Amino acid sequence: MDTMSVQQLKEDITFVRQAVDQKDKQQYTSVALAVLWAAIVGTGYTLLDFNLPAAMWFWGIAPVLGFLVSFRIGWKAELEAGVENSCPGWVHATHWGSMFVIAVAIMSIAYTSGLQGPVIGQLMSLVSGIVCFLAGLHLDRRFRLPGIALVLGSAAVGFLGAFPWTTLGVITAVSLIISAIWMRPRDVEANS
Amino acid sequence: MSKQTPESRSNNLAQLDKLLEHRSRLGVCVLLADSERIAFSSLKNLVKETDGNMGAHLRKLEDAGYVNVDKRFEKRKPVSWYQLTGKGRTALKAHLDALQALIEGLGG
Repeated sequence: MDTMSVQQLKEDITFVRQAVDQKDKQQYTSVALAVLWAAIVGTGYTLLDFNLPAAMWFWGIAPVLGFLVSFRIGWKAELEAGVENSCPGWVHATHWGSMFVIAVAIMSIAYTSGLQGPVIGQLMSLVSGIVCFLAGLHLDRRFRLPGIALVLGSAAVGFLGAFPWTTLGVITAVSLIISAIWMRPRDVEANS
Repeated sequence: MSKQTPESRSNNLAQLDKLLEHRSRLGVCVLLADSERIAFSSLKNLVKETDGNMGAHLRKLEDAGYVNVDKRFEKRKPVSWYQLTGKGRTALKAHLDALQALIEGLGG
């Protein structure tokens, strides 16, 4: 060690930094989650236009199942990649799990204040969009575009033609797929 | 930045962990510090070592108590998962602090 030079030290540190950067780049990039939620969103919103009772049942069950399946997909993807990070997994689960609490709160407000019809759907879409966009800011940038689509779409429901919910659902589903295919989960430089 | 005295440099050198002087072992500990667990094959690819060398490095770290190994079967194949221990985390921090002091003293 007495003969260790500054150059050797710098090379070793550069080596370690490159290994860390490489690990950061090996992030979950599968489209499985995007396809799952694109299917849920697309189906659920379409039902709002064509079969409202079925839509109520769908939105009561599908998000719960989707959440559980997403958790498993994410966990299996980590195993495939050879890296386990329990902390980010629980952060994601808590973030998205909060949607269930929010949904109950919105339904409670709607029931006690007499809100009906499309307004409830718009509120749910608006809040979902905000939660999604915030996830895009703090967790995985691939959620930003779908979040924006939901927020803007929730306000524009009255202007989306004969089948507004189907249109919003399709736009959101497409944004999920596009983000999953063409965007990286996060900017490595921004997080270093 | 002022250069350090020979005494302080000698002190900083003495603070360096002998086990972590090898870049691959240092790299393994740094990678494990940032994750819950990492599989053998991922560690090997990230620090660009062969199976044999990687195994030898990890055995040394395990013998020193710096890492734990959890051997599982996944899809009927044995997979070894490595985790940094508290002792390893402490040793890594001390080593990195000593490295930083050494580099600052060298004016690099």
